[in-house]
Amino acid sequence: MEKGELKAKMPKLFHHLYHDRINMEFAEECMRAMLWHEGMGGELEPYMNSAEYCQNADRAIRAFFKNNPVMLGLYKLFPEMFLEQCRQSTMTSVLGLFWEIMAPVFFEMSDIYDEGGFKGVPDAMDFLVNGIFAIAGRPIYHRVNIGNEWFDIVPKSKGFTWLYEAAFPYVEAVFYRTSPFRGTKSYNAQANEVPTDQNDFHYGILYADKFPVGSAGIPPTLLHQDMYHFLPQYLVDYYKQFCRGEDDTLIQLAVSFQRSMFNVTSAVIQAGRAAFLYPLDDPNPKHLLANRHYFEGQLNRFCNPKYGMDKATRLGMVQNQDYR
Amino acid sequence: MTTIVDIAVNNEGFSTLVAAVTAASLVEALQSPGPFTVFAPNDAAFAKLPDGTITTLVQNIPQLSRILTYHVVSGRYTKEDLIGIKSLTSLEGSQIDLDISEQGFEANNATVIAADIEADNGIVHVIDTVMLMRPHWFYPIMESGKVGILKD
Repeated sequence: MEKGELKAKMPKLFHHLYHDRINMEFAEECMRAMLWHEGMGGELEPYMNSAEYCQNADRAIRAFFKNNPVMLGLYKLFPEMFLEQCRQSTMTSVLGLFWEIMAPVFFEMSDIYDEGGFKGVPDAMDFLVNGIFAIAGRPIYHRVNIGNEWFDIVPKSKGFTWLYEAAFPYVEAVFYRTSPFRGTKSYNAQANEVPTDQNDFHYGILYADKFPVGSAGIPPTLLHQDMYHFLPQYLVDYYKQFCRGEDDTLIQLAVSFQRSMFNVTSAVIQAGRAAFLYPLDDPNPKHLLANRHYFEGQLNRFCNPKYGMDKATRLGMVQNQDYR
Repeated sequence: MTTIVDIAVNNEGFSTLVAAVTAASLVEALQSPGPFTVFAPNDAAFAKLPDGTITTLVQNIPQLSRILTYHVVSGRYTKEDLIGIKSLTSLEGSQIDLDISEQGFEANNATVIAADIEADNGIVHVIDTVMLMRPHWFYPIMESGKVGILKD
């Protein structure tokens, strides 16, 4: 925490009271979104509902509450509730692994940027696409240590991979969907302000309105607050030059973050194209047409007029008096 | 008896595939009576993957086996058998999309460059690209792209 906002050594409580802390609420929101939006591809989710998973979880739950008869009794009464908690912790573990594997790619990217290695955004995109391929096959699993014994709740031997079981569902759940949040805007489900089809949910970071950042209950606010703690000096200086300087750093940070997420989404779309379809310079017109359908299909995700999604990412359309 | 593995070992251009199958301990399975239909990526197909892709997979055997079993289908299917069939279910569990026309024989985004190589326990079709499982959301995206821009 000495690196945090206050940059001072003092008891943890004071850091906490000053909100100088990592909030993790957004991480939790991501986990919930991934769990709640089912059917986003990959084998993990069907596995979490299989008898095998329940058995593995059962062993771990019994070991964890070995000396706690009350909890064991509750477990007997409400087994599903405990299993659901276990699924949450599996998803948290998956997210942890996702970032453990992804973070080095971003760190390397940042080093290359610092050294002036990227001539522009396309270079950075190429780097990301290759990076995604390089780590695509890394294993996704859930292993816990309870009382000096290891429990494989999702064993490595299931062959779950970073790309299919973590990355694609993550992009879908976090970048596109998440869930409507209570905050500056109230959603009226009866008035069809919330899509009836979960596939159409669009509360992710790509559609986020950055201006109410700072108000209570808006998940990205906390994320940006967390990022603010570790902002490198050159970015602090950069944000000071624009808009309202230090006063709206969080919003400027939110804008940068959203843009960078559009870059990552582009890289994921490109990686998907490279994995499932054809190179951009493929000479076969049929292949190029398939590439085009894929690209247009992806773009359609940003322009569903039914929920005003075609306007959602255009600030001018959102920032009107009626919005809040 | 000439098995699918023998074909890969005795022909040039499959050293990466043979190494991968050996690393994943799938040799014995592919020597069993089967029968199997194998879409076998050649060395050039593996070389097309970005750097590090194969290294990561070889270090993670269950994940490697999953990709490899995606290239295997239970049953013996020649090109002729597959005419008019839209997809096959691989041993991995995901589907492989087929497109056989006058222009050629394609499986997912791979083109079959040599079809119907007979083994005693199956058939080998040589492909020019390593196939990766297409997640189920891939199909609605493609459909939506075919329709064009959504209208209310």
